[in-house]
Amino acid sequence: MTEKVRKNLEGLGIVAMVSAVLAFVLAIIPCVGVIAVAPGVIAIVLSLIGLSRGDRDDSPQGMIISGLVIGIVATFISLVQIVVVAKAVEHSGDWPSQIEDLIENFEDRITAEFGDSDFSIRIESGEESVVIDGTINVDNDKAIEQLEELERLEQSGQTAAPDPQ
Amino acid sequence: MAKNRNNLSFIKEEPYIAVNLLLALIIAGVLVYSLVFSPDKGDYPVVCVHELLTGEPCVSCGLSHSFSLILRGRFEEAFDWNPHGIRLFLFFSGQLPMRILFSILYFFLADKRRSLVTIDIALSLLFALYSFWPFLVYIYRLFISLA
Repeated sequence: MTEKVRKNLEGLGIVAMVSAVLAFVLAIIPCVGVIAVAPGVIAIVLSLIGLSRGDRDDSPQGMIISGLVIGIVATFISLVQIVVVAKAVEHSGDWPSQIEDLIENFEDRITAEFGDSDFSIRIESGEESVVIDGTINVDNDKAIEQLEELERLEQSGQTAAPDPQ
Repeated sequence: MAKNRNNLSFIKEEPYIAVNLLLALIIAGVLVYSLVFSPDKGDYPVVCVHELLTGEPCVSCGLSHSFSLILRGRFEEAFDWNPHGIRLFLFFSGQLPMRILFSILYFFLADKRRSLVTIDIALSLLFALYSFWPFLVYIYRLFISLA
Protein backbone atom coordinates (compact mmCIF):
# COMPACT_ATOMS: atom_id res chain seq x y z
CA MET A 1 0.00 0.00 0.00
CA THR A 2 1.44 3.39 -0.99
CA GLU A 3 1.83 6.18 1.53
CA LYS A 4 -0.70 8.31 -0.38
CA VAL A 5 -3.41 5.64 -0.30
CA ARG A 6 -2.75 5.07 3.37
CA LYS A 7 -3.12 8.79 4.12
CA ASN A 8 -6.35 8.95 2.10
CA LEU A 9 -7.73 6.03 4.07
CA GLU A 10 -6.77 7.68 7.35
CA GLY A 11 -8.55 10.85 6.24
CA LEU A 12 -11.65 8.85 5.30
CA GLY A 13 -11.50 7.08 8.65
CA ILE A 14 -11.28 10.36 10.56
CA VAL A 15 -14.26 11.93 8.75
CA ALA A 16 -16.29 8.71 9.04
CA MET A 17 -15.56 8.43 12.75
CA VAL A 18 -16.43 12.08 13.52
CA SER A 19 -19.63 11.85 11.42
CA ALA A 20 -20.57 8.64 13.20
CA VAL A 21 -20.01 10.08 16.69
CA LEU A 22 -21.93 13.23 15.73
CA ALA A 23 -24.76 11.10 14.30
CA PHE A 24 -24.86 8.97 17.46
CA VAL A 25 -25.03 11.99 19.80
CA LEU A 26 -27.77 13.57 17.65
CA ALA A 27 -29.66 10.27 17.39
CA ILE A 28 -29.97 9.81 21.15
CA ILE A 29 -31.32 13.34 21.67
CA PRO A 30 -34.98 12.86 20.66
CA CYS A 31 -35.54 16.52 19.66
CA VAL A 32 -33.01 16.25 16.83
CA GLY A 33 -32.91 12.46 16.49
CA VAL A 34 -34.59 12.39 13.11
CA ILE A 35 -31.87 14.51 11.47
CA ALA A 36 -29.12 12.16 12.67
CA VAL A 37 -29.85 9.97 9.67
CA ALA A 38 -27.84 12.40 7.47
CA PRO A 39 -24.45 12.22 9.26
CA GLY A 40 -25.18 8.53 9.95
CA VAL A 41 -25.51 7.72 6.25
CA ILE A 42 -22.41 9.83 5.47
CA ALA A 43 -20.44 7.83 8.05
CA ILE A 44 -21.65 4.51 6.61
CA VAL A 45 -20.88 5.50 3.00
CA LEU A 46 -17.39 6.81 3.86
CA SER A 47 -16.62 3.73 5.92
CA LEU A 48 -17.73 1.42 3.11
CA ILE A 49 -15.57 3.35 0.62
CA GLY A 50 -12.65 3.09 3.04
CA LEU A 51 -13.18 -0.64 3.54
CA SER A 52 -13.44 -1.31 -0.19
CA ARG A 53 -10.23 0.62 -0.94
CA GLY A 54 -8.05 -0.76 1.83
CA ASP A 55 -6.43 -4.17 1.60
CA ARG A 56 -6.68 -6.59 4.47
CA ASP A 57 -3.05 -6.73 5.57
CA ASP A 58 -1.70 -3.25 5.85
CA SER A 59 -4.41 -0.64 6.15
CA PRO A 60 -5.62 1.51 9.06
CA GLN A 61 -9.08 -0.07 9.22
CA GLY A 62 -9.75 0.17 12.97
CA MET A 63 -11.21 3.65 12.79
CA ILE A 64 -13.13 2.91 9.58
CA ILE A 65 -14.77 -0.18 11.11
CA SER A 66 -15.59 1.77 14.32
CA GLY A 67 -17.11 4.54 12.18
CA LEU A 68 -19.18 1.99 10.27
CA VAL A 69 -20.52 0.29 13.41
CA ILE A 70 -21.35 3.55 15.23
CA GLY A 71 -22.84 4.97 12.01
CA ILE A 72 -25.12 1.95 11.54
CA VAL A 73 -26.31 2.09 15.18
CA ALA A 74 -26.93 5.85 14.97
CA THR A 75 -28.82 5.54 11.67
CA PHE A 76 -30.94 2.72 13.08
CA ILE A 77 -31.88 4.78 16.17
CA SER A 78 -32.68 7.75 13.95
CA LEU A 79 -34.83 5.63 11.62
CA VAL A 80 -36.79 4.27 14.61
CA GLN A 81 -37.63 7.85 15.57
CA ILE A 82 -38.57 8.77 12.01
CA VAL A 83 -40.97 5.79 11.83
CA VAL A 84 -42.49 6.67 15.24
CA VAL A 85 -43.03 10.31 14.25
CA ALA A 86 -44.49 9.27 10.88
CA LYS A 87 -46.89 6.86 12.63
CA ALA A 88 -47.91 9.52 15.16
CA VAL A 89 -48.66 11.99 12.37
CA GLU A 90 -50.58 9.30 10.45
CA HIS A 91 -52.64 8.32 13.51
CA SER A 92 -53.47 11.89 14.37
CA GLY A 93 -55.75 11.90 11.28
CA ASP A 94 -57.60 15.15 10.72
CA TRP A 95 -58.35 16.02 14.36
CA PRO A 96 -56.27 19.23 14.24
CA SER A 97 -58.47 20.62 11.44
CA GLN A 98 -61.62 19.43 13.27
CA ILE A 99 -60.56 21.38 16.37
CA GLU A 100 -59.78 24.40 14.18
CA ASP A 101 -63.29 24.26 12.68
CA LEU A 102 -64.80 23.85 16.14
CA ILE A 103 -62.99 26.94 17.42
CA GLU A 104 -64.03 28.99 14.36
CA ASN A 105 -67.69 27.98 14.79
CA PHE A 106 -67.45 28.77 18.49
CA GLU A 107 -66.02 32.23 17.72
CA ASP A 108 -68.89 32.92 15.28
CA ARG A 109 -71.51 31.90 17.85
CA ILE A 110 -69.96 34.05 20.60
CA THR A 111 -69.70 36.99 18.19
CA ALA A 112 -73.35 36.63 17.23
CA GLU A 113 -74.63 36.25 20.78
CA PHE A 114 -72.37 38.22 23.09
CA GLY A 115 -70.21 40.64 21.08
CA ASP A 116 -66.92 41.47 22.83
CA SER A 117 -65.99 38.42 24.89
CA ASP A 118 -63.23 36.38 26.38
CA PHE A 119 -63.66 32.65 25.85
CA SER A 120 -62.06 29.46 27.02
CA ILE A 121 -62.31 26.03 25.37
CA ARG A 122 -61.27 22.92 27.29
CA ILE A 123 -60.58 19.71 25.37
CA GLU A 124 -60.27 16.54 27.44
CA SER A 125 -58.91 13.16 26.43
CA GLY A 126 -58.66 10.68 29.29
CA GLU A 127 -56.58 12.32 32.03
CA GLU A 128 -55.05 14.90 29.71
CA SER A 129 -56.64 18.22 28.86
CA VAL A 130 -55.86 21.29 26.77
CA VAL A 131 -57.29 24.76 27.42
CA ILE A 132 -57.50 27.33 24.61
CA ASP A 133 -58.16 30.92 25.71
CA GLY A 134 -59.10 33.72 23.33
CA THR A 135 -60.69 37.17 23.01
CA ILE A 136 -63.18 38.45 20.42
CA ASN A 137 -63.64 42.17 19.76
CA VAL A 138 -66.53 42.73 17.36
CA ASP A 139 -66.77 46.48 17.84
CA ASN A 140 -63.29 47.29 16.62
CA ASP A 141 -64.55 48.63 13.29
CA LYS A 142 -67.20 50.72 14.99
CA ALA A 143 -64.65 52.17 17.44
CA ILE A 144 -62.27 53.02 14.59
CA GLU A 145 -65.10 54.77 12.70
CA GLN A 146 -65.95 56.84 15.79
CA LEU A 147 -62.30 57.82 16.26
CA GLU A 148 -62.01 58.84 12.61
CA GLU A 149 -65.20 60.88 12.91
CA LEU A 150 -63.82 62.65 16.02
CA GLU A 151 -60.55 63.33 14.21
CA ARG A 152 -62.41 64.88 11.26
CA LEU A 153 -64.48 67.07 13.60
CA GLU A 154 -61.37 68.22 15.44
CA GLN A 155 -59.61 69.13 12.19
CA SER A 156 -62.61 71.15 10.99
CA GLY A 157 -62.90 72.93 14.40
CA GLN A 158 -66.29 71.44 15.15
CA THR A 159 -65.36 69.69 18.36
CA ALA A 160 -68.14 68.91 20.74
CA ALA A 161 -69.01 71.62 23.24
CA PRO A 162 -67.12 71.27 26.53
CA ASP A 163 -68.94 69.89 29.52
CA PRO A 164 -70.10 72.89 31.67
CA GLN A 165 -69.06 71.08 34.85
CA MET B 1 9.26 26.98 14.54
CA ALA B 2 10.53 23.57 13.44
CA LYS B 3 9.13 22.06 16.63
CA ASN B 4 5.72 23.60 15.95
CA ARG B 5 5.79 22.15 12.44
CA ASN B 6 6.61 18.73 13.92
CA ASN B 7 3.67 19.01 16.31
CA LEU B 8 1.33 19.94 13.46
CA SER B 9 2.49 17.03 11.32
CA PHE B 10 1.98 14.75 14.33
CA ILE B 11 -1.65 15.89 14.53
CA LYS B 12 -2.05 15.17 10.81
CA GLU B 13 -0.43 11.76 11.05
CA GLU B 14 -2.28 10.54 14.13
CA PRO B 15 -5.98 9.94 13.39
CA TYR B 16 -6.75 9.69 17.14
CA ILE B 17 -5.52 13.25 17.74
CA ALA B 18 -7.34 14.55 14.64
CA VAL B 19 -10.63 12.93 15.75
CA ASN B 20 -10.16 14.31 19.27
CA LEU B 21 -9.58 17.82 18.03
CA LEU B 22 -12.57 17.70 15.66
CA LEU B 23 -14.82 16.42 18.46
CA ALA B 24 -13.47 19.14 20.77
CA LEU B 25 -14.38 21.71 18.12
CA ILE B 26 -17.93 20.33 17.82
CA ILE B 27 -18.36 20.37 21.63
CA ALA B 28 -17.00 23.91 21.78
CA GLY B 29 -19.58 24.79 19.09
CA VAL B 30 -22.38 23.42 21.30
CA LEU B 31 -21.17 25.53 24.22
CA VAL B 32 -20.82 28.67 22.07
CA TYR B 33 -24.34 28.07 20.70
CA SER B 34 -25.66 27.93 24.28
CA LEU B 35 -23.78 31.09 25.15
CA VAL B 36 -24.76 33.12 22.08
CA PHE B 37 -28.53 32.54 22.24
CA SER B 38 -30.34 34.15 25.14
CA PRO B 39 -32.64 32.01 27.31
CA ASP B 40 -34.76 35.10 28.01
CA LYS B 41 -35.43 35.79 24.33
CA GLY B 42 -35.81 32.09 23.48
CA ASP B 43 -34.80 32.67 19.84
CA TYR B 44 -33.16 29.27 19.35
CA PRO B 45 -32.99 28.10 15.74
CA VAL B 46 -33.26 24.40 16.67
CA VAL B 47 -36.85 23.24 17.20
CA CYS B 48 -38.02 19.88 18.47
CA VAL B 49 -39.11 17.81 15.48
CA HIS B 50 -41.22 15.53 17.71
CA GLU B 51 -43.14 18.44 19.22
CA LEU B 52 -43.53 20.09 15.83
CA LEU B 53 -45.06 17.00 14.23
CA THR B 54 -46.92 15.36 17.11
CA GLY B 55 -47.66 18.33 19.38
CA GLU B 56 -46.24 16.40 22.32
CA PRO B 57 -43.02 17.59 24.02
CA CYS B 58 -40.29 14.94 24.24
CA VAL B 59 -37.76 14.14 26.96
CA SER B 60 -35.12 16.42 25.45
CA CYS B 61 -37.34 19.49 24.99
CA GLY B 62 -35.91 22.58 26.70
CA LEU B 63 -32.28 21.45 26.50
CA SER B 64 -31.13 24.58 24.64
CA HIS B 65 -32.73 26.78 27.30
CA SER B 66 -31.28 24.58 30.03
CA PHE B 67 -27.71 24.77 28.63
CA SER B 68 -27.92 28.55 28.20
CA LEU B 69 -29.19 28.97 31.75
CA ILE B 70 -26.45 26.71 33.18
CA LEU B 71 -23.79 28.79 31.40
CA ARG B 72 -25.31 31.87 33.06
CA GLY B 73 -25.32 30.23 36.50
CA ARG B 74 -29.13 29.96 36.74
CA PHE B 75 -29.21 26.28 37.72
CA GLU B 76 -32.71 26.10 39.22
CA GLU B 77 -34.29 27.57 36.10
CA ALA B 78 -32.15 25.21 34.01
CA PHE B 79 -33.54 22.25 35.98
CA ASP B 80 -37.09 23.54 35.44
CA TRP B 81 -36.57 23.73 31.67
CA ASN B 82 -35.16 20.21 31.48
CA PRO B 83 -34.34 18.07 34.56
CA HIS B 84 -31.72 16.11 32.56
CA GLY B 85 -30.02 19.26 31.23
CA ILE B 86 -27.42 19.48 34.00
CA ARG B 87 -26.09 15.93 33.61
CA LEU B 88 -25.98 16.32 29.83
CA PHE B 89 -24.19 19.64 30.17
CA LEU B 90 -21.67 17.91 32.46
CA PHE B 91 -21.07 15.36 29.69
CA PHE B 92 -20.35 18.00 27.04
CA SER B 93 -18.35 20.30 29.28
CA GLY B 94 -16.44 17.27 30.62
CA GLN B 95 -15.70 15.86 27.18
CA LEU B 96 -14.03 19.08 26.05
CA PRO B 97 -11.11 18.90 28.57
CA MET B 98 -11.08 15.10 28.18
CA ARG B 99 -10.42 15.36 24.43
CA ILE B 100 -7.58 17.82 25.04
CA LEU B 101 -6.13 15.88 28.00
CA PHE B 102 -6.15 12.52 26.19
CA SER B 103 -4.57 14.12 23.11
CA ILE B 104 -1.74 15.52 25.24
CA LEU B 105 -1.26 12.18 27.02
CA TYR B 106 -1.27 10.38 23.65
CA PHE B 107 1.44 12.75 22.43
CA PHE B 108 3.74 12.22 25.43
CA LEU B 109 3.07 8.59 26.42
CA ALA B 110 4.09 6.92 23.17
CA ASP B 111 4.46 3.46 24.71
CA LYS B 112 1.02 3.44 26.34
CA ARG B 113 -1.11 4.67 23.46
CA ARG B 114 -3.15 1.51 23.03
CA SER B 115 -4.20 1.36 26.68
CA LEU B 116 -4.79 5.12 26.66
CA VAL B 117 -7.28 4.82 23.78
CA THR B 118 -9.00 1.89 25.54
CA ILE B 119 -9.32 3.90 28.77
CA ASP B 120 -10.66 6.88 26.80
CA ILE B 121 -13.31 4.78 25.03
CA ALA B 122 -14.37 3.05 28.28
CA LEU B 123 -14.58 6.30 30.27
CA SER B 124 -16.44 8.14 27.51
CA LEU B 125 -18.91 5.26 27.12
CA LEU B 126 -19.65 5.16 30.85
CA PHE B 127 -19.97 8.94 30.97
CA ALA B 128 -22.29 8.91 27.95
CA LEU B 129 -24.41 6.09 29.41
CA TYR B 130 -24.87 8.01 32.66
CA SER B 131 -25.63 11.31 30.91
CA PHE B 132 -27.89 10.03 28.15
CA TRP B 133 -29.64 7.29 30.16
CA PRO B 134 -33.10 9.00 30.29
CA PHE B 135 -32.94 9.59 26.54
CA LEU B 136 -31.89 6.00 25.88
CA VAL B 137 -34.84 4.78 27.96
CA TYR B 138 -37.16 7.10 25.99
CA ILE B 139 -35.84 5.78 22.67
CA TYR B 140 -36.13 2.19 23.92
CA ARG B 141 -39.80 2.86 24.73
CA LEU B 142 -40.30 4.32 21.24
CA PHE B 143 -38.72 1.20 19.80
CA ILE B 144 -40.98 -1.05 21.90
CA SER B 145 -44.02 0.96 20.80
CA LEU B 146 -43.19 0.01 17.20
CA ALA B 147 -43.11 -3.70 17.97
